[in-house]
Amino acid sequence: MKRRRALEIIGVAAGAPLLAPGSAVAEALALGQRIRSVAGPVGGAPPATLTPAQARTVTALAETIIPRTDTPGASEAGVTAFVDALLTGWLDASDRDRFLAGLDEVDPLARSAHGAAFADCTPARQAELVARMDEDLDRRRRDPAIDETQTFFYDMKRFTLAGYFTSRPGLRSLGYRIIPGAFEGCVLLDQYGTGEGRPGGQP
Amino acid sequence: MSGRQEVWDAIVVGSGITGGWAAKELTELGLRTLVLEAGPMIVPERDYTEHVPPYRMPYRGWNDRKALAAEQPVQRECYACDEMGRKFFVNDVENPYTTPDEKPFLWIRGRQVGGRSIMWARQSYRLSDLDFEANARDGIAVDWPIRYSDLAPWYAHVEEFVGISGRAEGLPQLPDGVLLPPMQMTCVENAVKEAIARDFGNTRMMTIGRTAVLTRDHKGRSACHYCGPCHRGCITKSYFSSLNATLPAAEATGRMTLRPDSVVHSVIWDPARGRVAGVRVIDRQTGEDLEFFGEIVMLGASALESTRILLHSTSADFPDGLANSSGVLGRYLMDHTMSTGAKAKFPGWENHGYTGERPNGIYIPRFRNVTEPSPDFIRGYGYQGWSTRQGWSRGLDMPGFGAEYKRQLTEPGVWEFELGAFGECLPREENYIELDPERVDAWGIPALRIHCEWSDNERLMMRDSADRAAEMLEAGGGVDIELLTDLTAPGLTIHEMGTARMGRDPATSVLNGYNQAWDAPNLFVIDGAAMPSSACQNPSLTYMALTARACHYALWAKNRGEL
Repeated sequence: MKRRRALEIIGVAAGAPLLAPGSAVAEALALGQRIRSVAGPVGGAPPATLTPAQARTVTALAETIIPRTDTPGASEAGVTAFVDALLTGWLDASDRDRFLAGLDEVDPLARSAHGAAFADCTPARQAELVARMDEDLDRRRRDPAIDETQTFFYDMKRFTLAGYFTSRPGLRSLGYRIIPGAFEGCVLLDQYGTGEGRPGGQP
Repeated sequence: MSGRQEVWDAIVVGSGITGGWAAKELTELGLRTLVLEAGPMIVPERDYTEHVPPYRMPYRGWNDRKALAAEQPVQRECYACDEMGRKFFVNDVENPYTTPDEKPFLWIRGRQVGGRSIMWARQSYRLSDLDFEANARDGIAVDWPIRYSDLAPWYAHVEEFVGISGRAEGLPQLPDGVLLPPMQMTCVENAVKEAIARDFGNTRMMTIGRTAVLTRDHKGRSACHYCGPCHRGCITKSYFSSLNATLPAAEATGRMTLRPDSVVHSVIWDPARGRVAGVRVIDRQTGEDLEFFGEIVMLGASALESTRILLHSTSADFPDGLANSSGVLGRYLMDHTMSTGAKAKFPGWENHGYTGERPNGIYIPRFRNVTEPSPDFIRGYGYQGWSTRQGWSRGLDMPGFGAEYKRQLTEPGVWEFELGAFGECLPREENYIELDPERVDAWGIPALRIHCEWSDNERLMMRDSADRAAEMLEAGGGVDIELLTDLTAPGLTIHEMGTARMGRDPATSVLNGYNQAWDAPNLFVIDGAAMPSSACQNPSLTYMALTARACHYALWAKNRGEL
């Protein structure tokens, strides 16, 4: 069962929009499970592939896509380190190079429009520039003759979403719990409220 | 450890779902049993990773794709071979096999204590006489040597220990078993179930999946806590695996010796006694050649591995493989088809959700050629299905960014419901395995060459399954219905079976109705190799029942001096 839901399971939280009541984490701990780390937390180490200037641009782009609101944004969630990890060990060389080439076009674009590097622009000007990239992506998406996935901004958006929603704050915003403790198949959303009103959510 | 000075009461090859059952039954019957496992030991407290959150994974669940491409290009096709779970799948470089170019076959394997019972998908259904009589009725392959009444008590025997949740429905084609309380359906599943009852109620029905996951504490194992990624292990032992249940039971008898890292090379034939004497083993780590001797040998290495061992066990008496006087060893390979059906979106349920991750879905038992005849094909299929609400990943296909975009993606998206058919595959002589004349594995043992492809019967059946699924989803209010009609290569369902079939006649089968080799009375093949037909139900429960039955028969026959 669920065999072909593999890609959704990858995101873990993708199919788990709600929370179970009760303190299931405590129950699980009582059962002897340790919630363990198999790799060090992302963040802290300097980027392995991105230059400091590129890392600044990635951070600013990611924060524009998923900004801090009443919950943390992409920057605080460590998206830049995730993007660097993908560039370093995950992407094939050609895809990595396409991403880096696209990234290196962002600052010239910002400079010609606003006279400053992207990361140094105001949030409003950053949003204006990202809107242009997103509109271009959407135009490609609608054109059956174009594979929009082979573009820098598609990857930038993809990596930002994945990096954010698999981070600790991102999962918390989804109400994800490692150990729900129960499965209730058919519940009214209002029963649990939404957003920060949800119980639990502390992975 | 040298086996030379010792003759075990029984040797079991493999520690997966059937090897674990053989270990439990034989040791509880009083036999000193050696269990040989090709792979390493697995220690749940160390090796299970189901609760590792994505932010502790280097690639957040996107897997180490370069390592997969280099080491597991076949295994990665299985969803469970993921960033945390891939250690439970073999290294394809160490474990090669070949196929003709035009006949791809995906052989998904786990070599460790627990075998694939660690990563199995846990769906558990009984076969019925519709299945046991199928070959005889259709006049193809060979008749099963047993009927439902032979296996029914053994289904109950294993179900009582395994713990299977589900709902009794009283269907003749899907006999009820010993069941723990069922899991719940989602709102959308309930709606489709009601629509099927309304529009197709005379011939079709939907029930909750029957799954080897505990819905209440059971025999020292804890009820499920609905965390989701079962295939990475389960520290609360809430789903059944040999590692979680049968091997500990065998260990508790004090009569089991488990030897990991023991790659079985071949079975030793004793021509003077007309019996098998034991097995030859290569130590996985040292490469040392070893021999172990036993009064009974049971092969539960998985269908293709058990047959591979027999094909490689040649002697003057059996130049074409042990227990192969019939010449059918390696023939009649089957898998289930899996990838067809339909999916749809279900608007109108936006205010409804669910809590937790249910390790189970719904099931629509076979109706084709049961209550609804087909003019195009014989046999039939059952559907497994699941409904979910779209998650954040939908954001990639949406224009937008910023605060409102972020807020939208933290809310669940539209409901989707997918029905996937699991179809019966006919046993055909031209689907077979043999030893590759050139390739060997990392231990020098000849690799398999696998020849397998779907036939027209499977293709017609699967095309039908898409249309029938679509009409049921539509009846339940589904929109944007998408037909799923592409068949994946055989093997990927990981229900590969046959190649050492049981039958009534030693001239046309390898085993008798007790999984006992016609040619060697103290040799049993207890895994899926024994299957003369595939039915359409997930087969593991049947393998377990056949194994338990074979073990009790073996002791009975031994006590009568017949082994």
